[in-house]
Amino acid sequence: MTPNISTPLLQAEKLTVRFGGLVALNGFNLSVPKGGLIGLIGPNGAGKTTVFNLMTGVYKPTAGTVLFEGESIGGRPAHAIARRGIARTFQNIRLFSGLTVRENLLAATAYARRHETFGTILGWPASLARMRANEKKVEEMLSLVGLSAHADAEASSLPYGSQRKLEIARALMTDPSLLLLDEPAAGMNPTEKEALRKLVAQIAARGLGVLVIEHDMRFVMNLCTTITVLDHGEVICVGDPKTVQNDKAVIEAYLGVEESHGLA
Amino acid sequence: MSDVLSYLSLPLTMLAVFGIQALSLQLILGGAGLLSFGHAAYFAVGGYVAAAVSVFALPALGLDPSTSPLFSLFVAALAGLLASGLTGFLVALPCLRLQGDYLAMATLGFGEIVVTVLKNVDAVGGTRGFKDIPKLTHPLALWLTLAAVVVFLHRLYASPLGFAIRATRDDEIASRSLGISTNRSKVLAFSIGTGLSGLAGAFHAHALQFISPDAASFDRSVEILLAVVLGGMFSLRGSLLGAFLLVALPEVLRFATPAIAEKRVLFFSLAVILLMILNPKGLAGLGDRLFHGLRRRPRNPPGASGSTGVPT
Repeated sequence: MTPNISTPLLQAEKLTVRFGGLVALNGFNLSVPKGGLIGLIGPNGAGKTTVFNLMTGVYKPTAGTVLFEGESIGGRPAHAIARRGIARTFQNIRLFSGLTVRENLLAATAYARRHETFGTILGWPASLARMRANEKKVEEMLSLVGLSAHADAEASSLPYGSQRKLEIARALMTDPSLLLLDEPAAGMNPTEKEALRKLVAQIAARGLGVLVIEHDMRFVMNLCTTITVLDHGEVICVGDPKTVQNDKAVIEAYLGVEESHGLA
Repeated sequence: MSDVLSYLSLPLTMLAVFGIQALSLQLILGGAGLLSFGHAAYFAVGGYVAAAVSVFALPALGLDPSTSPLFSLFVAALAGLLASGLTGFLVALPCLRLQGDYLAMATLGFGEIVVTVLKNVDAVGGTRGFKDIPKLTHPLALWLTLAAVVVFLHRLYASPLGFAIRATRDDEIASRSLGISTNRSKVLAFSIGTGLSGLAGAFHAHALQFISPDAASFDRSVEILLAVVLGGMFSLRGSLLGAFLLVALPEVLRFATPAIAEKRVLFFSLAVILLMILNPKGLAGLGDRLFHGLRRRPRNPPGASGSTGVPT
């Protein structure tokens, strides 16, 4: 099924989910290698975000398996999957609106630093030193995504594009080995999109697997090495950008069948 | 001079007790975003358990609270804190699966259960209340405890657990995607908050030498809720301010002309409703808004700083 010699980072096999009578995803297969940049595209309602929700434990699969680093994670609770090393962003941005930009990133390290709670409250020097080291990490992340100037602003007061960047930064703060980006370029201007493309490529170059849902075709085609196309919950095409662009089924899914005018 | 001090002793005690109680609810309501309508119940649990320790348990162990008041108070207050924290924990386990209005109903129901139970236990006075509790506290000890609670909560909010609690409040799905166990955040916030409320109850019982089932009543719960919401539920200083206003205002209005004094509840309620409509972030939010307005920082929304629960 996969051409990779080593075990892929993430492997979904025959993943199916039904909501009542609706089959949202049917027999979905996908493989993400380490350092891989995989695109997931398809018309609205094709089931792309459903794939993300199955892989991150928001939904439980009706059938099929999700293997992460060789271990089955399908149906496990969301926080347990996140702790295994899968981080994500959301299509409808989910920042912590009551927290500042900096605090959003600090919240992302809450689980990793859970043993520091007592030391921080009691003011132990070792704990305070580790707290400052963590704060420094946050500052580095802020400058990586270009949000240092807005560190103290309320997260919800940022422009749309910056909120997306903050979500990516927040996901990266958990030190994941797989990053799922749900429409990261939405609401960005062409300059911002180009900067984001470079940032995501840079993240993958560090050895992270990246799976991207995106409607901006230029962005996906320039970024990803392999693209999976979904339509009505089924994979209709897998391949490199060129193959996908010239695939008849893909063109039909996006533009419709030529002779279908006037028919029921 | 000593007359003034002894007159002020009671209001000062009530001020600190109510301050601790408001702070304890601030963690649950503003910090964790959980609507609790039965917060007074934990105050009563803490008060009754602490009183039972100093009236029954310590003498049974051969220790007279009046000979070592500070140690006895410490043991009693600790027992009150742990008992109410444990009660909160046990209530939280099933109830925190509920959201919003349903959680409010469940916590209200538990509060009524506590009132009923306390009214029917004769060993602690039944409906007449728990009397003859040794006087073990002093306003100074109480105010130092209040300061300690402020420092504790301030540091808690800056700790990993504090961030997990506030992240859970703002977005549970996003929190879980970062590895945060939202159930754990909520249960811990609720348990710590109810424990601190019990601490306030322990001091209350040993300062007034009396506690009655009314301490757990719905009216008391609403009063605490009012203090926190009025002052500003997203900040510690806001909640403290709200608590102080609620205790101080009736004392001040006592000296007003009878016409106002008679209708003070009406005026007070109107003021609260107006404030809530015009400024949902409470008095602390109003202060921030004025402050930011004066400094003309249009990019920051009103109350941007000081609304996250960290400031003292």
